[in-house]
Amino acid sequence: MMRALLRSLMASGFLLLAAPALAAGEISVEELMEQAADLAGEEVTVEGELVGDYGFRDDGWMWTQLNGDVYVREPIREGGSPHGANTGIGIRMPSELAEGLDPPGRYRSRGPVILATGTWKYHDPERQGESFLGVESLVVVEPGRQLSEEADWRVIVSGALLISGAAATWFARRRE
Amino acid sequence: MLIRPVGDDFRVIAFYLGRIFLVIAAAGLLPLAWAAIAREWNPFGSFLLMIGLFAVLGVAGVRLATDESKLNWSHGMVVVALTWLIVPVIGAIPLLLSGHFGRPLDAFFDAVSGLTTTGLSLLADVDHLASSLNFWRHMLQFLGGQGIILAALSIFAGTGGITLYFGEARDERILPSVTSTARFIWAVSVVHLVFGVTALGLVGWLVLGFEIDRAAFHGLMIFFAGFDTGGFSPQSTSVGYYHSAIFEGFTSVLMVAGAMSFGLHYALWRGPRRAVFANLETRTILSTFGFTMALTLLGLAATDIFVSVAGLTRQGFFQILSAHTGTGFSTVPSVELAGWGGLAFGGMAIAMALGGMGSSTAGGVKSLRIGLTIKTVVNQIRQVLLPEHAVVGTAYHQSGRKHLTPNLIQSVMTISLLYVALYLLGAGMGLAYGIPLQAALFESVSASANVGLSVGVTDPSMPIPLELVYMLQMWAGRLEFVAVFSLLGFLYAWARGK
Amino acid sequence: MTKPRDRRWLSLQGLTGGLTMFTIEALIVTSLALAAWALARLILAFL
Repeated sequence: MMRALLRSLMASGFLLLAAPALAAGEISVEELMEQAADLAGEEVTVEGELVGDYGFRDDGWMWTQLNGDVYVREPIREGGSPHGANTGIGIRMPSELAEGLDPPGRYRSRGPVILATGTWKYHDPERQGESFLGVESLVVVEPGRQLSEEADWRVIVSGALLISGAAATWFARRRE
Repeated sequence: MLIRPVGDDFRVIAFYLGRIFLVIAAAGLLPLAWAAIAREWNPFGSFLLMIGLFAVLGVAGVRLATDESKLNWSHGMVVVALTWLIVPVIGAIPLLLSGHFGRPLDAFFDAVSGLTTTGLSLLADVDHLASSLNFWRHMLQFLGGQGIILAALSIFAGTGGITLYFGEARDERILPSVTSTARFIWAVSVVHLVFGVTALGLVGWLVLGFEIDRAAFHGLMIFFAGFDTGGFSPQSTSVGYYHSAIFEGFTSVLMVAGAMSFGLHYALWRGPRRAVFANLETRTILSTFGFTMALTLLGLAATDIFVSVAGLTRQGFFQILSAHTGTGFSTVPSVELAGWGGLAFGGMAIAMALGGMGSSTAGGVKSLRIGLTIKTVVNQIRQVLLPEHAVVGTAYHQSGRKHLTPNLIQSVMTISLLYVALYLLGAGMGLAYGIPLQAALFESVSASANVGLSVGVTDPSMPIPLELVYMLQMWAGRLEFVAVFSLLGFLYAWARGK
Repeated sequence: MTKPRDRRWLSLQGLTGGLTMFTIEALIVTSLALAAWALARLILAFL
């Protein structure tokens, strides 16, 4: 009977450890935005790319944007097709959590892809109605990386030729 | 009898178009330089190509005419209408070559949206767009808001000036000559650029913790889009990206400045400042703003989205200001805006439809017309109620004491009705494609009044005919119809005239 | 007649006038925001 009790206690213990993972259900950014009102105040886990800027503010928070769209894994710079606008949410995290993160996504950089867990603040009264994810912990799934850009020489040469042609015509006309 | 346009007519039109294209080619040097400094070589090449095309067309046009002074009213209107069609075609080339658009028409749509200071966008993945291209998108809104014609006028003096000036939907002659009025408008813009970018940049750097170059970048982009009531933004979450009431505050100042007529700016700059509040237009817009804001706040409060006074004030105020000034900045995503039904939708839609002041960068029917319409209706009612012999006053204040003449009333009513017709056209088209009435009406008003707020109808998957109708609405709405009808009349005369 | 006037806009006098204009616009926005706040208070008090 003691062994059975011990086994039950151990099972309960494991379940309790698993509870945070079960509560912090992973959803996509798109799903979060669609169910924004229903998920107000809930703890969620979202995966996405950090883009734009890292705004380290004096109050100890860092603000940035988390995108969960097709461009995270298929950047346009690497041949990805345009599939409409970005899908992103504002996020806030303690500045210490942001230390060491690769630069955010911009023109020639794919920002770090993270799994962020935190409370979804929907029109938070303490922030005068702003909506954002209050990140409490994060895991870097993929580091940020540089994206290459290939200049199209045909376009550059065509442009230069047209400008030269126009300039030549202009000055020839002036001499007339 | 319809007189067919002859060779000389085309030559004059080509000459003025040529001058304007040369100005745009010169303007294109700015994003070109930016791309070179930022080492963004793909955009660099596309800007070179764009400048080359404008330069070639410009030189070709200027070569064609012999005597520039023969520009008449009809020519001027055609030049304006064609400028606002051709410039976005060539201006779209850098956007198209960026790879951020699925089809050429979408790139053209964004260029039209930029130039008409609408702000609806089909751009994919703006968060990874080259900074020089982002600069060009926002600069298009600046050029369009200031008026390309204005830009050309500032540089080229000439007898054609006045016709082109009026063709671009500017009614006021603030200073003795059109050129000096144009220069004043540029001076107002420079002042707002200096103060606006400084304020936004400082907030970005010191409060938001951006790097200083990024703070300046954001400041400049939001200035272009805010002061010219355009509504593009450098990041996909619009002004919501900044999560800052102070930033929204300075942005609001730029939006209000952009929706004010340049005549009002003159009064504020040089005085008399009290005249500002005696104006019919000022009184009208304050009334309509108050009314639509009350509707919107009531609607939002009823949905329990915002439970605190601060939240309701900050979010509601910014959104309705963005709608009424025709800017189109947003602090909430489109998917949420689509859910704002009832009074909130009503307030926002009415605000967008009414628009800003005349001779400003804003769109819509415009407050002067609203004020004059209300005054006319009130006068009509008084005429009916008062004894037959009673005389009903027809005076109003608008930079001085003026009178409501039958001609003025006719023109005001005609343009107002045309705007309503345009709103309904787009809504009807949306309905035809199965879009719900609320969304169809909202998006149509947004396009026609050059606002740019979207509930999600504007999307790369939208049907091409609907996309074309929205572009037509943006173009006609920005030019306030007259130039558009002149172009159509010109083409008709060319086809059927003798 | 127009040239001396044009240059005046970007002179110190002109810039002071411009700053005044910008400040007045900021005051207008502040007033409108205060009106919005009063309205919001009223509405939430009744709902």
